[in-house]
Amino acid sequence: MELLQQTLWGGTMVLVILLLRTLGKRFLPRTVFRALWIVAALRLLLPLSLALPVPMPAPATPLPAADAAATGQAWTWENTLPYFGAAQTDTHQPAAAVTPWTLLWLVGVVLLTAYFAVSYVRCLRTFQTSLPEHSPEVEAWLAEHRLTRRVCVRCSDQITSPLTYGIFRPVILLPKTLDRRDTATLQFVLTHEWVHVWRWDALIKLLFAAALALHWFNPLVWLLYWLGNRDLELSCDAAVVRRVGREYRAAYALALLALEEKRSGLLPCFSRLSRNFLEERVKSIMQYKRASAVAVFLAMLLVVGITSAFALRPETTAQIQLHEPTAPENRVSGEAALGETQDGYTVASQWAEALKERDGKARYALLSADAKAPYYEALTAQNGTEHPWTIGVSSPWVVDYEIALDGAEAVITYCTETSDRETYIYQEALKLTEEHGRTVIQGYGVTVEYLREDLYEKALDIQAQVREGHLTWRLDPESVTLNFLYNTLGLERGTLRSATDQEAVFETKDGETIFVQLYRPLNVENGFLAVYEYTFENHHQIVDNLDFY
Amino acid sequence: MAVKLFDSELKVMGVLWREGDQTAKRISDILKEEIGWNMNTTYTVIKKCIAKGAIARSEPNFLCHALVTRETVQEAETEELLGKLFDGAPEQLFASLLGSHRLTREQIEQLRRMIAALDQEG
Repeated sequence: MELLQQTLWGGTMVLVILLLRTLGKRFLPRTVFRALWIVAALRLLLPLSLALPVPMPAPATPLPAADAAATGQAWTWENTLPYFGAAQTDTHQPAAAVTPWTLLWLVGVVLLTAYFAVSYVRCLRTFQTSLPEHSPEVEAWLAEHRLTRRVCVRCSDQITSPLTYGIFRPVILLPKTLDRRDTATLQFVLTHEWVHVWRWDALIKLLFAAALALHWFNPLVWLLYWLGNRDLELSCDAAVVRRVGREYRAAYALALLALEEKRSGLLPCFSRLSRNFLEERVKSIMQYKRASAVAVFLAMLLVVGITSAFALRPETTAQIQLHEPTAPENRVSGEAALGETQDGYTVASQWAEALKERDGKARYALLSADAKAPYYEALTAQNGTEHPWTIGVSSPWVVDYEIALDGAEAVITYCTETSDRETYIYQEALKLTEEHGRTVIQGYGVTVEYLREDLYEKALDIQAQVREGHLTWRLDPESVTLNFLYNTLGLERGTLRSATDQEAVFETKDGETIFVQLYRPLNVENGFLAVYEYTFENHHQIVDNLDFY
Repeated sequence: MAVKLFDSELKVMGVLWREGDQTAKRISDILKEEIGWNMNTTYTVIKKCIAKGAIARSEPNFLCHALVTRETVQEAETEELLGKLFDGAPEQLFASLLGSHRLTREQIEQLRRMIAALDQEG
């Protein structure tokens, strides 16, 4: 479930930030941590698909090596991939099972959201009964500090500490008991709240709360909430010191203490865990130093680095994908890439070269022990025992190929050409494994069979549209078969004897049996795209009207 | 026992003392002009006053009548904002200058000493 992945990534980020915070608290500017907490919260809230292309959910399946695709004709994928046989519904993804855990999670979300919402609203109601602020000192200060959003300052006798609320129409709320004539303290207070407004901290706090409400089951997110809010305050204090000048930091800290003292005097004196925070704030204020250029540079690097590391999730490709032929980072034209994936690339490119050379023996050598015998059988079944090793077709022939490797799976996309310079796409998927320290091919299958390049591009485009939700559709295999048999071949007034993904047998009214060879429909995420090329006797046709629902 | 009112409630009472009996709607219009409250806010405060026994409501039209005079009313003291359940919630959801710390005299003095010491270090 996507939520679990989000929580994992978010949680890891929290640990990284924690580490950084512990190590770099003294010399890194506090805003760095604030920025990183925000990124972490966003990671937890935003759908992962915003990061990288969404992988196709087709599960990995071991290939049945029978009916070898060596000749590039017969189809070998058997099962779980949704195609012809299974009637596809138009659900975008397999419906997430509603387990008891999901319900429990929902209950937690509802409870936390209710708590936040209710407290927010209750506070807001009280804040809204505030009265306008009329003191000249405040108005003078406001005149000097402008913001793009209009900030209001109001006065309430129901709060004990100055605060700010409101995201689009921010309000600074001053307690009635605050002495307006103490201009020094007033300036500190207003600057502090002003910084909060300027930095949209009210919104950030909501962000943290939202992240917590969704990921309440993850203790690291509680940490994010707690420390994130603290770092918001601490970086605000730092900004205040920066603005008023470092020489006034003691005055600022003392002003905070004085305000706290006045307030504590009104209320029962009992210590709480959070009293340590004021101590931390005071310490942080007193130890404030203007960050050196090195520290700033390092800080920016860290933020950019960590954001990209966690914003870009490694692509977890599924077994079968339609790979666009021109993905530059995957271009390996027959040469193995260096590095840890050398084995996989080497093997895949050797496999590809073998098709180019039409050398079945080379392929045989690359197979795992289990896969060898079935491969040989398939070849002999196709070519006879005399010269079984010739694979591929003479036309179109392989001009170039590209390999995309992901873990134990490789996809080879071939560009093939006919003498008429027509380009056809042929694509195979390989399953790799280790055997006695060697990388070998455990299974393979053909995913795209000599499909005209423009139709292939069209299929990719449709796939993308389906993935992005612009198009949802479903193809009923039988109706498609019937459609092209009746309409395209003009075989009305006959009966369909049988239809599989590979062939249809039709009987005309004269009792003649027509045997039509179909090509495999391509796989798309939530339905499938059937593009037909078929051979009917010597008649090779392409049906390029695609049925959409 | 004297009725204790907050500033917001005193504002509402102020309208009644000045203008005499008014409908809630009229009060909210006046206060919208004067201090920018929206209608819901005014109505909430009026209901608070009624609960405290400072205003009497009569129908039709939610007519408000002041039950106390300016002289008999006392200012309410600031208390914990929302009571135990939501204590601390304000500072979690809103940017508050001071948190929910409550320090003893000694702790404050200790922090003062810390400030002085760190100030020395420059």
